Amino acid sequence: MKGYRQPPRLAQWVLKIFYTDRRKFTHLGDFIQVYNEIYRKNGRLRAWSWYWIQTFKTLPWILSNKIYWSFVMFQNYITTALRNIFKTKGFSLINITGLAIGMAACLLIFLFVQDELSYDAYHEKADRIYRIAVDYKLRSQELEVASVGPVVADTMISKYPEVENAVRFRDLGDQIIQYKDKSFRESRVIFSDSTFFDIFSIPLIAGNQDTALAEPHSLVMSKKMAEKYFRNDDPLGKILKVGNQDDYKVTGVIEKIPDNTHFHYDFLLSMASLDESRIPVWLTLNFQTYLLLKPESDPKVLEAKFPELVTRYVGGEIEKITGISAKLIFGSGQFRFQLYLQPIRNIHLHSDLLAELEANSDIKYVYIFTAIALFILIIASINFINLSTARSAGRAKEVGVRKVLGSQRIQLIRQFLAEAIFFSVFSMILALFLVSLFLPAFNHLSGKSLSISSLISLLTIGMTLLITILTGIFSGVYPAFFLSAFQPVKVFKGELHRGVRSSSLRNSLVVFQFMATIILIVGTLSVYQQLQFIQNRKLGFEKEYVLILDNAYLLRDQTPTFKEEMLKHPEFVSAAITGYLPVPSFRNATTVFPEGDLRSTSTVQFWTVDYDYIKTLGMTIAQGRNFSREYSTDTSSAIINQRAVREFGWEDPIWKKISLPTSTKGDFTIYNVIGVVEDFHFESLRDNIAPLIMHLGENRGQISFRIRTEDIKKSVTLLKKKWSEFLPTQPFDYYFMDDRFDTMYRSERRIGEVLGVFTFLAVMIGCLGLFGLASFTAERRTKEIGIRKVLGASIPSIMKLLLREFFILIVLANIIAWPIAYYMVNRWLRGFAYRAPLSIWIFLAAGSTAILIAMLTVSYQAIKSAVTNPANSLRYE
Amino acid sequence: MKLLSRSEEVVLLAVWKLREEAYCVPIREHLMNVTRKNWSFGSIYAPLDRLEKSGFLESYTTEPIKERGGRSKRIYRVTKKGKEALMEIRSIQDMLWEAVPDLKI
Repeated sequence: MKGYRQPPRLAQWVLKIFYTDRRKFTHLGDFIQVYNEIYRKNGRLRAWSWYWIQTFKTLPWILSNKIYWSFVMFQNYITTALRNIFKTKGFSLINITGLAIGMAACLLIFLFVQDELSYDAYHEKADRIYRIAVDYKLRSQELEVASVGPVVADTMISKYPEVENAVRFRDLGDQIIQYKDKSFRESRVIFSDSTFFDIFSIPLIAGNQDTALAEPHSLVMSKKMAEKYFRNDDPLGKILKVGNQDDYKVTGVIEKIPDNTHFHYDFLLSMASLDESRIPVWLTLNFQTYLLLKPESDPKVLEAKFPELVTRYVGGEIEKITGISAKLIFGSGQFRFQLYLQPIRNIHLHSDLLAELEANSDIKYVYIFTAIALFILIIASINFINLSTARSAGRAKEVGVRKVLGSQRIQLIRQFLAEAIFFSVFSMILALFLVSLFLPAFNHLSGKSLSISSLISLLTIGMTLLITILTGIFSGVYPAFFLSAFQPVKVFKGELHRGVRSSSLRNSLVVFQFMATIILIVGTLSVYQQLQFIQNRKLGFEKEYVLILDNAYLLRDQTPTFKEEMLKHPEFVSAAITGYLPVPSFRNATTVFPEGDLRSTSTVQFWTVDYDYIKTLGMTIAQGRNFSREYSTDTSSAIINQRAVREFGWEDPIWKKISLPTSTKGDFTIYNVIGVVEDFHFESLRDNIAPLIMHLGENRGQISFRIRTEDIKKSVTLLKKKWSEFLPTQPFDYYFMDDRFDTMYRSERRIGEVLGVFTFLAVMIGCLGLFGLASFTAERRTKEIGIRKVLGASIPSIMKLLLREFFILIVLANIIAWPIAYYMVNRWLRGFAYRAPLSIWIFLAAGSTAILIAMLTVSYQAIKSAVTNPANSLRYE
Repeated sequence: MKLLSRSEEVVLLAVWKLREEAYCVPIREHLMNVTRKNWSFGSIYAPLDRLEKSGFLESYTTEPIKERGGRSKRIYRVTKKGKEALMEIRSIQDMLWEAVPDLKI
């Protein structure tokens, strides 16, 4: 008999786990004593249940007590941390500024990424909406197109039970919209089916969504536009003139299409107004078509049914035009027409097809930006780690005293961690302030319209807290373990210096910091170089000094007269009337048969131009001749580009024939090739040059004027004056070709600018850290430097001594950074058909910039300590 | 001076009353008898702990005792500061009750 009975082991174990106080031993004795008393009086079961009940009743008390005391401890941490922050002001300033800038960059990029990912998520039926796209191949040409024929939507609804609804868009470009005496050129105009409102969650604020776009010649406009045209009048029922000819009745008003949608239109015109929408063809791809699938239907299953449909309808159409059996054409391997579905939420980040409604973004940039944000935050955290460990000598005594007075290591770790978290909390407060300050600038830079209010979402608040705590822990954990490991005996004996000096970790972190910085610099320089390359590349035409008059079609029959009138001024060298220009403008892709061979079809650009086109745009004839008024037969002549010559496989292209189908019944127009124009870029340099045929004809979309270089302003004024003589009420719109050309690279320029700004931030934060580190190194070596000077060292030799250490680190960072940067930049450049060669100079420039900036940063400290009078530095004891 | 919480006050008073026998088991029994409520150990440890850390109580351990699984008792003792606190509470109580109408119905 032991004299007492052991209570339930499990319950006792639970108590021991939670009760970490040193009184545990005696207090558990109380439990045992009472347990035994009850056992003696009421038996084992009672005692057993009493013990368990007591355990559970006691746990909350123990826990709340623990929280109470840790709160008391917490107050103590705050006090210590605050004292330390104020004691070492320089150090705290560097840390908090660095961290705050890093966090602000992180938050901005988080907002950006969040916005990018939110595209089209707000549609209630977003997970059921798919766009139909075509993967299309004809001979050597492969295209992916975001639009299909007008008949596809109806066919899908009638053939497939899983398709619930569909909506089609047809973009006919800019339109002149007129109300009474007000007339504007509107670029955000689209024709849409009336099912628009059933599929997209874009509500009408006036009008009936079932009937709004049902009738021909009806129109829905945004609220902003309604105010622009009608001020405060009720827009419903008003009549607008579109394109100077048709009257449209306003049947609805929408607030606006949300920013995070992959299309933005101010005017929706009813599809029923377009005859084109009722032609049952599959091979003209002009209608962006969205399907709404029934709930729980599988898009993969639906996609698998498409080939059958394509064979039937597309095949039938080809047979009709060419008279060749569809089987032969599909079987030849020369032709492919594959329909597939794109989930609407993927369009913004994952789709870059022909005929997109708007230029989309790219998931690549989401990744790049996220990586940059992390880089910057890590660089800032490294500053904290490095500076904390570097000045550990200063805190070693504090650790020693605390330990002697009974601090446990875990308490010290907690204290240092808490300090790091305070730093990060302070930084976050500052960062939030920075974010709200720089959000407008960031919006300008990134082309977004983010607002401060988007900061106040649950996700963002969570993210903010997460960034704060993770940064605190990431930057605090190493210093915490490092500092808390000091042994009091050694500290007081002064044996610490050896430990502080062996700073291999600190050095590798500096190398990492500068590696990241150098990668960012190389990236930025490469983006700029590529942009430069694009802008200076020989394009095959001269984009400078071409003034383009928009809306020329408003002049109707007077267009040629207008042109002649303008050319009377010596400022205007030559002019061409056409809407087909090598900048984003009118396009017409069509199928032709070279040499009338029905078996070898090709898809080409087919442009209508006039006699002066090639001269005005400064293109070069490589072979044959230009269109000429002297040959009356030139109306059926064609000039093709070199790419087309290759496409058709012709040895001598002159006088070859090209047949253009003019109807679905097998009629053709024949063109004789009279000349070959040198290839010129008419798409962005991301893409290769496509085959192109030019023929004479009338297209009055725009007039391009080649002007003299002396007085550009005068030319514009002259043009405007003449325009108002001809059409006093119509809007005067013009642009310069090189400006429009530049807009094709807006996204690249944007990336370049964002990269530039963040690189600058990264360099700045890195230098802040380096500056701090250098000042501590110099401080530590004060005595050494003093002695060296006394023994005759010169100032340059001492500077060399101090700079060498950092110089080696940054050179090392360069060596590591170059291959990584090379790989990354190469990946990005792959998106361009024409790319600037990656020159070694970019790497050398980035490397030497980093070295130069770092050396300048360190020199300040180096000079300061090198010129110090040794009498002062040696006297410091 | 910061006023003690009710449970701290009650526990402190119990320690004063029990003198040399003031460890958890008798304190708890005493409080259960007086208040006719069930007190868990935890609800006594917490105030004891706080009182001790704030200096109202001090404690020492006895020799190990067999019945307690070889564990010692932790006997609490009221410090001078504790006594002053008790006296102050007493005087506040008295003042509060002074000239209060009779509660008997």
